[in-house]
Amino acid sequence: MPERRRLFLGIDCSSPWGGVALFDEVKVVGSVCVEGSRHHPFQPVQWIDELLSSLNASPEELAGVGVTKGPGVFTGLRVGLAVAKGLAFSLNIPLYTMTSCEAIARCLPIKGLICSLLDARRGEFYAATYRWNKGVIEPLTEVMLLSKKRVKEMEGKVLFVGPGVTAAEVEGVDLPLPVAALVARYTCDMVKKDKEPDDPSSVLPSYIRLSDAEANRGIQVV
Amino acid sequence: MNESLILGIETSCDDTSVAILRGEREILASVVSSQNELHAPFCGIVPEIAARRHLELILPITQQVLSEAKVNMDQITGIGVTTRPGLVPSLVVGLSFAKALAWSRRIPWVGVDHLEAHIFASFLEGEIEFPFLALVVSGGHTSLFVVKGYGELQLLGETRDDAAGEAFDKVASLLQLGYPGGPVIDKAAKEGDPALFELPRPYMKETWDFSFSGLKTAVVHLVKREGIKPGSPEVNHVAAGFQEAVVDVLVAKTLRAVKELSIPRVVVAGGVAANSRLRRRFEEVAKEESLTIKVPPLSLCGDNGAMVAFVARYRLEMGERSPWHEDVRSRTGY
Repeated sequence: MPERRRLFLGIDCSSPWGGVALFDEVKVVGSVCVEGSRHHPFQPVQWIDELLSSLNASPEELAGVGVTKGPGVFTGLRVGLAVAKGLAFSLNIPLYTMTSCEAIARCLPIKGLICSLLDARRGEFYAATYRWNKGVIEPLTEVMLLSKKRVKEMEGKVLFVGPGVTAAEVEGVDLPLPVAALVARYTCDMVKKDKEPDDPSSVLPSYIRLSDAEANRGIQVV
Repeated sequence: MNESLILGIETSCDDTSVAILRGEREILASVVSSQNELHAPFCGIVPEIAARRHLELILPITQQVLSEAKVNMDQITGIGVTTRPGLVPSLVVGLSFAKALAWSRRIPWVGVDHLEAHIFASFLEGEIEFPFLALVVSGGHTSLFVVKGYGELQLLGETRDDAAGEAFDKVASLLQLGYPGGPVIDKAAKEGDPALFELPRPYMKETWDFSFSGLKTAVVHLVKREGIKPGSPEVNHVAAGFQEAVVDVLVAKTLRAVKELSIPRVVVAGGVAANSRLRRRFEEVAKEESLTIKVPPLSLCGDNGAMVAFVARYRLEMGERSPWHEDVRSRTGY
């Protein structure tokens, strides 16, 4: 009997483009990238099913799952996390999470300062700045919620990348990025390095923003 | 060993609930985590807060239920999850989680209608002869159905504006009695005289639909006109009068359906079925009119995973399966 493959699953439902990808310790063996809309919500389980079927792979071959935890569209973040939690628990495999800003920056291994940008609506943006240093990505800021004006002020000093670039009206890269594939590869790395995984029963999205009801009333529920 | 073990998941509104059902009606474990204290400062359910809490609780509660039932995922033979109607952000959490469990373990699963689940909650206590009438009254719904068989529901009428439970919440908020409105109005009404203040009965005799927003507005006017202060004894009379008006309408419309359709069996379901006055009145009516009226025990009135598991069991047995692209809907399929 041949040795069972070890596949690593990446899930991203944090931005207008969602997707899943599988990494087999060497290469990305398959990925799905879909533009979501009100009428076509993200269906990561359907994508995972189609992807594994096309590779003749079974759920038991999954050796780890990774997911972007935000910031991003609230419902999308919950879809991604709920699926990742379910898989990690049910298959008893490690779960790793990454902020969507870091996942986006990891798609661009280039010199200089990279600022990931996601549209937070209402004229605001989720942003974080990174730098590559000898093949390792370093965060230079926390993930922040910035006004369009603040984003504009950074123009020329950083390379903007991500699905917020067009809405912010700044120079930068706004293309469907292979975020899920990046997360899948990262998950493989983490498993191989035996890094401490996240606890599926307690890990939560990075919403950054409160719910409107809390923000409007100045109340924060705990 | 051939007995089914169904995992039922319900996150349609503000209660995270999971249960395991063995065979037709043996609840091995059931956990319902209420979020009332989270939504109380807002005097109503905030969908975004509800959805966030569902995601926090869904896995720990599932683990708790499996452990209490002494069951592992390998033994689960089917999964049922509420997919409609309800708050979309809340429903999405339960559905996404359920799909991941079902897919990874190749467990048959099916999306369940929340109103159907409420109606069949009574079956967890024993079967009821078909056809019967079902009145579903909760924070989000006020609907009257004819139920002809398992999964065979015909909608007669529903609320055109506020659900009964929603009206309870709004009146409780106006009277500063607290949240949720159902239990606090029920309690206050016990100290009040329902006949002291006159309130309208929206019978809507030309239709099977309901409407409670006019009644709620009448309470607002009454409180203003009489200068009723929160905390005063009059509050209890208003609560009693309002509750009596709602109960009168619900009972009268159900009885009209019993007579016009010649169906002497009624199931009352949903969170508002926990109201003591409503339960008492239906008990009295059952005696007076020689009807079979079934109201589930309090533990099965509110949202719970067991009722979802019950419906999933017969739907799966009928061969029904949901596709991976199944989505949630804010409205019922009926």
